[in-house]
Amino acid sequence: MNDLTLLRQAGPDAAPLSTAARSAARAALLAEIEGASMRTPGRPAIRIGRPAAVRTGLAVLTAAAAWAGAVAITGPGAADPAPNGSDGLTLVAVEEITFPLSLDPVPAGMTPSFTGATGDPEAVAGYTAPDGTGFSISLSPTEPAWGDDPYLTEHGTTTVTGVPARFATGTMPDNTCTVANVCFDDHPVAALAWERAPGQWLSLRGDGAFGNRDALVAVGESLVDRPQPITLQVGLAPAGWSVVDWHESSGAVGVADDADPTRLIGVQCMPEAPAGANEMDNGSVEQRIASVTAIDPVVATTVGGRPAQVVRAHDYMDPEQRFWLVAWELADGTLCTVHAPEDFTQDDVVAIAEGVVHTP
Amino acid sequence: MTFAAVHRSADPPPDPLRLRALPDAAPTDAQLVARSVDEPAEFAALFDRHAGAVHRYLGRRVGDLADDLLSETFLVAFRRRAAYRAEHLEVRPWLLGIATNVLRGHERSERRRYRALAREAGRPEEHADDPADAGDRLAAQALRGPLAAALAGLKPRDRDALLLLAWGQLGYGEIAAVLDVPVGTVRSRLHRARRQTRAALGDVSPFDPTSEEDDR
Repeated sequence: MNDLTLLRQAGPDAAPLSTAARSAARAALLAEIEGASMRTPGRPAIRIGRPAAVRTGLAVLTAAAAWAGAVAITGPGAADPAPNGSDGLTLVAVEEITFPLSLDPVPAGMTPSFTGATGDPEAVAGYTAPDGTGFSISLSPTEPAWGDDPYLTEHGTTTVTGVPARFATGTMPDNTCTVANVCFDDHPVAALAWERAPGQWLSLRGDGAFGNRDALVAVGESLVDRPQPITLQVGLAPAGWSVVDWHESSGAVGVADDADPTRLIGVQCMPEAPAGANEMDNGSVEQRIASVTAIDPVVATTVGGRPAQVVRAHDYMDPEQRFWLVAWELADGTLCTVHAPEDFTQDDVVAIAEGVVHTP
Repeated sequence: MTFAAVHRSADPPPDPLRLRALPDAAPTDAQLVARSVDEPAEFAALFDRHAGAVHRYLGRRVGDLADDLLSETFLVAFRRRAAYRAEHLEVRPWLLGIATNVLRGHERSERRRYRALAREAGRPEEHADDPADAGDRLAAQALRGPLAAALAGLKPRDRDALLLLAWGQLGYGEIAAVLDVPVGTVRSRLHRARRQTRAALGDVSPFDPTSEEDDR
């Protein structure tokens, strides 16, 4: 035995990190993060991440599909404005947020996850097998570039439904591990890109069983124009506001004021993670509300018939940054929150929360 | 976008290469820090990944106070995220370095804990381990008190270096980076800390005359 071994074996030990302590520390960090998010111009609001074991990316397909679908609508198809709006704030229905394409057939055993935001690529759908391998589908208005990826060593051309496409393949080195922490030697990877429709570029990347040209071409040829709704929907938003960011993996949707994109509404619903390596306690409604610095007393209310709390609060570091926070827990333990600018009324915020639908 | 974006630290980690090929694959720690500069929410995933390790390091040093210092460590890290440089240091050592700095305001608490543990040592403990380990365990148990007393007697800077090595399992280069001192200074501090620890254990020392350089 040497002294380092002795220190590790006989040195003072630590009590395990308790759920309460973990939740409290995490809540404090999230409050800090949320304050920073509210201060970051042009950024979609709250995105609270668990280990990002899911495919991320995405945004908007074409103006006629995902992006337009994310905009609050006020036309004849809109729901009746919510009665609680005040000071000129009118809540209107938000069209269902979707990923515009589907796979037909869906590869067996693959779990999809979708993400969207402004930018390029506009949208990404990830399909993941239990071992963490799989493929992603990225939508872009412009031809995607693969850059100088060192692992894509073989390049060529092919066709997808008769449309010219380019592909690249390669092999990852020894001891490559997926997000599911399954490791492989000489792991195959591949990429495929083509212009599916004018201004609609698709880029597929796959690994493992999808790390070859033929598998990706088969995926590409199975794509159909059938929107897939994401699991979190924002039913109501102020007129003149648009969904700018949605991330299924972190259960978050950001809504921004078209006239001032720094004004944000953040909606999030985080299910309890399953037991295992990434197990995480979301905490309770009370803990979530307690994680922010209240300006006024916390108000008990209901959202969807479930007990909820709403509070006007300010940023942990900057008292000038003020916002509303409403929190409620769904029957399955999913914890949902809505953040909104301070100039909303309490009724506005609760009405927006009432419009949130989470369908895991 | 590349299939892999491996960054190097002063001491490359032994972990296997992670697949970072797909845009939706789990981002690396360094990528999360970088993204969090513009998208602060990205930082939360680092808490999920490292809270346990940071808390264990803090808990061994200050006991229950670790609960509060865990929060403080991540708040400091979040506020300093723009200054993080992946080419110099992995994220876990960076967090442990911040935790070490946070501990500096609590040196008295840390010393009190070691002294209390030294006093309490000797009480029998219950274990359900493999009986084959009983000999080592009993030997280690007999050393708990003297070891805690030895830690209490170290200079704070020497103790920081020693415990980052022993409990944080950082390399010499990583310790130098997080303490912002030359590697030679780290070697000096470790040499002094280890020599004093051995001396404090005196007759109960179980140490073999091993090299200090090969026992990370």
